[in-house]
Amino acid sequence: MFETIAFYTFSFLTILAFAITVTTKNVLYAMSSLAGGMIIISGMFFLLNADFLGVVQIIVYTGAVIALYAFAMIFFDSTKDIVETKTGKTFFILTVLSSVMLVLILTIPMASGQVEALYPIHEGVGNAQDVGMVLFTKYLVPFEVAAVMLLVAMIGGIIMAGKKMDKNLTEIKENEE
Amino acid sequence: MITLEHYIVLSTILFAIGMYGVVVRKNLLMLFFSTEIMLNAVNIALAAISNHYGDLTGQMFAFFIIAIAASEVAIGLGLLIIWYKRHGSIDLETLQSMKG
Amino acid sequence: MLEAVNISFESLNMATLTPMLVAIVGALAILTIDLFKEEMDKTLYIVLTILFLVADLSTVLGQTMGERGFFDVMLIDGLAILAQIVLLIGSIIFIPLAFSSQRFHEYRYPEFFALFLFMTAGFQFMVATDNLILIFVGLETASLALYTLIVLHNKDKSFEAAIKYFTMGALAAGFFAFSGMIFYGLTGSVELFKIFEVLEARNFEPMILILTASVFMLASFGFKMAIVPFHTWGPDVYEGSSAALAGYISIVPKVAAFVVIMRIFEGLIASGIVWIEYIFYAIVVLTMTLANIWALVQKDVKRMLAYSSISHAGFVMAAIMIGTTQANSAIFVYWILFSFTNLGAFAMLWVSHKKDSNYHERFDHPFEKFSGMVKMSPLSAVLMGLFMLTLAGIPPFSIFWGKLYLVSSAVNAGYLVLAVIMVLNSAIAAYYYAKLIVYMFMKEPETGVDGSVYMMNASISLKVMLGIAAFFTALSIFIVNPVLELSDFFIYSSGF
Repeated sequence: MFETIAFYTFSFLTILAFAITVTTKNVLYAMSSLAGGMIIISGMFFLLNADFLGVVQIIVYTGAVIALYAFAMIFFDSTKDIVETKTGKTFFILTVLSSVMLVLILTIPMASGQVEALYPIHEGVGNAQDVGMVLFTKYLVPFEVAAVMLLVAMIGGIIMAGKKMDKNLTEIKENEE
Repeated sequence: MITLEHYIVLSTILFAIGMYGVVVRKNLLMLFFSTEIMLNAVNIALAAISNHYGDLTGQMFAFFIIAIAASEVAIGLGLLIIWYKRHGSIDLETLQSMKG
Repeated sequence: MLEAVNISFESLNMATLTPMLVAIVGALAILTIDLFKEEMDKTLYIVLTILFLVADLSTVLGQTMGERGFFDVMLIDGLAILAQIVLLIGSIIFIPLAFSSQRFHEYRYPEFFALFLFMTAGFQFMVATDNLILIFVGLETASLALYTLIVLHNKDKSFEAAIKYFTMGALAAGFFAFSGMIFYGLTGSVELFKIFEVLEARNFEPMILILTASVFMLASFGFKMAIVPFHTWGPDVYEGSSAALAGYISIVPKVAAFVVIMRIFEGLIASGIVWIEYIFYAIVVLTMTLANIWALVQKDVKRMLAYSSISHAGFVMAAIMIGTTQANSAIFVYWILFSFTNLGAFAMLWVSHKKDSNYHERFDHPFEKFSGMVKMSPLSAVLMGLFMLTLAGIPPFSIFWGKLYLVSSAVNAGYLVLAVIMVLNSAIAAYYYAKLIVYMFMKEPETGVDGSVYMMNASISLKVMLGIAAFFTALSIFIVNPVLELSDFFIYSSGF
């Protein structure tokens, strides 16, 4: 009973929040509702016994991603409403139709009864401990590669926003400084 | 009773919302928000399947998706800032110097 | 409580990871050198990058086939080794193009070379695993580095190109995640061998979900490889990035994507779900034909080459669809021969790079730039003509042999219509390559232009690279057989 109420409340709220994000004209509304939706999704994770994932969702998404967007907002003028050209009607209808079709397709039950868990969740063991065990054995290599990926993103972000980009050596003459 | 299908349908609805955003929105920031929504939607389904099978792989996949989303934001914002500095706009319509 | 795990170092099988580690260590070394001594000359970094890539290649050559390592996440089969060899040779021949005589913004950054090495490592991870998670993480590492490399050219167009590429890449990442989610839901695993095992046990039911997952996966990699109808960003990215990087983008990232598609779709196409094959068929035909037609109307040589490489990618997708061992081997023969020729063509554009281009208000390399080239700079005109003839598939130059092998594998597998479409497309393609040849050899030079522009950006090492490309292209008749044997050996032994 508790799960049912929680599920429907959370679903309604996330759908509402994300729908606001993709339809609103104001960047700040979009960002706030995105942050709200992401926090509610973490509630969904707690409901699904993925506690550690829920905490990571809050820390990384709302703590890092949304904070990064919020800082970027300093650069862009966010008080003005966004003016956008309208998308063509046929294109719009196609998108809605294919979305509805996708949702209908995914109502087919996908889980199979014969699947045996390869990395089972243990009873009576904390989720974080369980996750740590798998993450640092089976998924050690992807974990390290993810570290490299974050390094790449950091280097990329820094040099793109850096001062060296202001003067363009590709376009100025050879002997100019 | 809430079954796995409930979660998957919810996840697909959110994914479709994200896809709708990618198609319709012309503002680059909004476009990036929409891709974040798509990745988040998938995470719900992964956690639900993981719970259903009692298998941790789904949660692992979700972790890596979160990491990927976070690093994409860094690069994406770098690109947006550099574009805004030069053009004063982050609308997709300003990206039209190359066509054909 | 969970019990502590004990893992012996031997069971990790370090040899499976060494090549990528070499590249990553190289990148970190470059970053560290910059930390201690700033403003070093780019020559040092170029040489270091080449050295690390060569070391990387030698460790790849030392790997044994059929190994798994790191809790079975890493998979080194013949396909992985062959793909890594092609990737690394592609990277090694493209990085010396940085020895340009003119200054470019990107080579000022040591980070350029570090990111280049990180990117190579990312591609290597993609091909040396059958775990969807590692494929995804490797793919994103490589893509994020590639976006930054494009931006570093620091022109308005390169920002535009990078933003378009990034947006498409983010969408592709979403699609990949969604498709991976469905596969995981169906089978409870993200490892391809396990996925196929379970799918087979379930008789590929429910069919429509597998089809949906396949379509999303195909779209995701379609975006990465610029396959019609996901190609829209492709030519813009080629136009916006420097000619050297554009040549790289046309070769190396695509190899990694092909290998992943081969791993995923080989089983799916053979699964008896006919729709997957139909969709593949449609995409292959559209990619080959439409890209050719668009290439016909281009005014810029670089954009023309962009569409032509989309069309060539269509040929390779056709081979993946055919899926016989001969076809899979043909992919690599074709792509190795194509790499050298495309290297030559893009290097020719690169050496003719001119800062204040006054040929056209938008394009750096319009066709008019090359009119009457033979009168002013005969050698470069002959070289460019050679590369164009090769791309068109004229015997006895290299790509002809790749095409021959590919078409014969299509005929052997019973895809007669497809073989006819391939041959027809080669005929259409010949027309736009010939257009450039006509400009170079038949037209009069524009007034007030001298031949110096065609070698404007050249340096000794660039000329050497051109010589290597021309050598392999012209004398391919002698190297086709060894390449074929190499490719056959690795493909047969990995069972694809």
